[in-house]
Parts: sequence; structure tokens; C-alpha cells
Amino acid sequence: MKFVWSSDASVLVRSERALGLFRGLRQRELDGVTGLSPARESVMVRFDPLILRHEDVKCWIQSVGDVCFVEEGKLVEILTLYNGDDLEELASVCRMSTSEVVSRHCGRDYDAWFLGFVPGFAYLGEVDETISAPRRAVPRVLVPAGSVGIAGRQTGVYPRATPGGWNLIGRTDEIMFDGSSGKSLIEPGDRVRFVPL
Amino acid sequence: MIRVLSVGWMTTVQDLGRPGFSHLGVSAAGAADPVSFRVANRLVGNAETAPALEMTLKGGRFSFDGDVVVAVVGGEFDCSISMGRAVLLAAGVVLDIGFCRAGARCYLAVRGGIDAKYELGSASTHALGGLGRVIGKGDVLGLAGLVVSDAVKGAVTRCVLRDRVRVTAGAGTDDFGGEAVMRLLTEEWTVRGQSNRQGIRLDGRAIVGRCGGSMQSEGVALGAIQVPPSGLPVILFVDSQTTGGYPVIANVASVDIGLVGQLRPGSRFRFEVIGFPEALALLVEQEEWIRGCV
Repeated sequence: MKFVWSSDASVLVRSERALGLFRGLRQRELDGVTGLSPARESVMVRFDPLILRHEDVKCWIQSVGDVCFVEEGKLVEILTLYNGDDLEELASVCRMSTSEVVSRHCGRDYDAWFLGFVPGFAYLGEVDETISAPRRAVPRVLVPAGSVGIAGRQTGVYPRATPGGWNLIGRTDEIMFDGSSGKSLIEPGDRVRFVPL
Repeated sequence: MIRVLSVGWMTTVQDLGRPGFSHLGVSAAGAADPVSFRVANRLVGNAETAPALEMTLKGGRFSFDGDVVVAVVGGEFDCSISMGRAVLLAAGVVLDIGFCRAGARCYLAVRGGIDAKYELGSASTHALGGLGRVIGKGDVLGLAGLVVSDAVKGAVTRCVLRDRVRVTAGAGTDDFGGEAVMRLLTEEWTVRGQSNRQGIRLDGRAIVGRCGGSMQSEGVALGAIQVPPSGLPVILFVDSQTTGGYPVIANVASVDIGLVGQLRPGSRFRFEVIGFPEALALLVEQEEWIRGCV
């Protein structure tokens, strides 16, 4: 594990076993820690500097370690109507039919690497190389809630109407995030399967 | 009851934020200037975390069904009552908070606190994430009972406006060349119009030289100063996304987060680098000031 003092109120830990570290830290909470953001190879640990010091946080992280056994996450199935506004354009860029794009998108399960952007937005990967595409040059001002998109080799679902630059291929009615309960349909480490309607 | 007769450009319910859910993509949100927010609540005798209204660049007009004790604290607004002190308003009197002359935001705390919906343990509004409440004309807000002490006599004066924002090293500082860091620290930056609670976008001479590498998305700290390919930095603020993909050249010190909340489009300022021990000492000093001022 490599530690970076990323601000006066956070420590960034780089580890190839970030998910294991994240789960370990979740199980052994420390008073004064205000947030954990796992990513693919790091965990951002935010803390209250009036309660903890960088060194305290580092000791806690080292005592937990990144060796936590990572159980396979739950499988989340997302019923998807493949009718996105960018589906035809993506198909033509990828030189295949729209149905071929769809079958390649729903033809594999994805890992939920981490959540970010807005509540409940999970970055899923890895998308088949043949249907990967960069973000749109000009992001949309408003992407409808439930839109399923592709950006690079990542795919994801917009939990609510927000600006966004991903290529939209479909849509789902699933509730991705419930603000009153804090329940996110997808959590870090889950497996996600798109099921075409 | 508080009756909202008119609102400015962005009026929201805020408290001290929603920590603990960043792994689900939920940023902490909370008052953009937490120092002014806490002072406002302390003045009226509320718990520091009691929900209050945050107003941006333009206030609003409010009336109250009963006698209330209120305090307006923050940037310099045209205001029908003195700012920075607890004021008793009789039922029916209209509180008129107009344009902001300096700074960007102010807080209206009402004794008791606003009766708001709590989501994930907080009433703070994160508009993009659909949490909390953006206030509109005609809204009627109830009052809660989050009183912990008597309202305070006397005024609090706090200079919320400095033209230096203090920063420490950030997650990616070591990946930048000396030239890039020098540019960050010597340039006078101007706040661009597209700035909000998610991010403060800056204009100036672009940061050039070695600017980190292409990187994977990683979690970001509050106040991280990202450098996108344009070379024009963006300060990630209270409603920012929880992860980001651009290299971070430095990070705003916790003591100056409230100052960032008072930056407005057109504000000019410089960054000043401090070490972690100094950042902590300044934060402790600020904490003592907040506790001692009312």
C-alpha cells in the first residue's frame, strides 16, 4: 500500500486490492473518518482533522490491511430497453448492426468498480473493446434518468436526469438510488448484468 | 412558519453536510461557507447543525407567522436587518435580503431551525443528486425545535473576504513539474461564470509544463484543485462528484473552504501554499474563534 497525504483532511491509499481494503475499512470503522471512496486501485479516506491526524489514519489503514477476503458481490440484473439516442451512431462507428452492439453489451457481466459522479452512479467494466467509444465531444445538458451509456470501456446507468457525455444505448426503469433509505441498487464490488427487454 | 415571498438565484436548505456515503457516489454537500453557517446558528441559539437557508448572490423576501429570532451571516448583502447579529422580528414583518455586494453567499438562520426532510442523516441540499430542497417563491417552511441556548446579544464581525486562498499539497502534487506549481502559486486567478457548488472554475494563464499523467478516476478530497487538459484549474467543491479523473495539483486547506464559498464570478485571488502543520493550526484557531465569538 502506498499512502499520499491528499489534503489536510484526507489520505489517498493506492493498492491493487482496493476493494478488499475498502471492505475491511467498512467493517472496522474509526471515529472521525467521514468518507471512503474506493476506485479501481485506490481508496480515498476523508477524515475530520480536528479529531484525527494523517498518521492515525495511516495506522488504522495498516492495521486493517488490504488482505480482506473479497467475497463475490451480489448479481444485479438490469432490465434494459435498447433504444438509446446514440445506438445507431455507435453501431455505425463500430461498423456493426445495432443488434450486434446490443448483444455485445448484454453478452457479458460487468464488475462495479466504484460509484461516483452522482449518488448511485456505478462505473461498470469492462465493455467489449469492439463497442467501446469515447465520451461525446459535447456533453448533453440533460440525460434522462435511467439512461444506459458507454464511455471508453466503461458502462453505466444514469440514476437521475443530469448532464452527461456518455453514449446512450438504452434505458431502464430500475430505481438506482433511493435518497431516503440510502440504498443503492449497485454497490462497489457487485456484478451487473444487462437483460434486454 | 416561514413564508418565502421571493427568492434569488439559488436558495437551498443546508446544514453541515452528509458525510459517510461517498462510496455510493454521495458527496457531503452542506453549507458552502460552514463558518458563516455555524455562526448564524450560534447567534440564534440553535444547534450548529440546525438546517438554515443558503442564498447565493441574491437573497429573497421572507415573512413569518409568529415572532421569530433570526440571524443573517455571510457575504455583504443588502439586508433590511443588521447582518451578523440576532434580531427579533415581529409576526408579519418582511425580511428583505437583496443583492450581494461582496462575497457570494449568506445564511438565514431562524431560531429553532428549519423543519426539513432528513435524507441519509442530513437536510443539506445537493441539487444535482436530487437530495434536499431548493427553495422557490411561495414555499412555506416550518420551524423545528433545535434550540440549545438563548439567542446571543451583540454582533459578530468576520472578514469573510481575503484575496489569498491557502492550499496544501494535493493527491497529485508530486506528479506536476515545478513550473506548473509555480504557475498555480504566482498567477492571479479569476473565478469564471460557470462556477457553482460543484466546482469553482478559474481563468488565468493556463498551467503548462508537466501536468501529471493520464490517470484513472480516483476519489477526490474536498477542495481538490484539478487541472484538466485546458490547464485552467477547477476547485472541486461541496457538491462535487466523489471521484475524478484529472490530476490534482494542490488542495484547498480546510480552514479556507468557507472562503471558497464566498468566491463569486469575477473574484480575483491568489493561492498561497502552507504545510500540513500550519493548516491544522489555522483550523484549530478558526475553531476557537467560532466557539468564542458568540
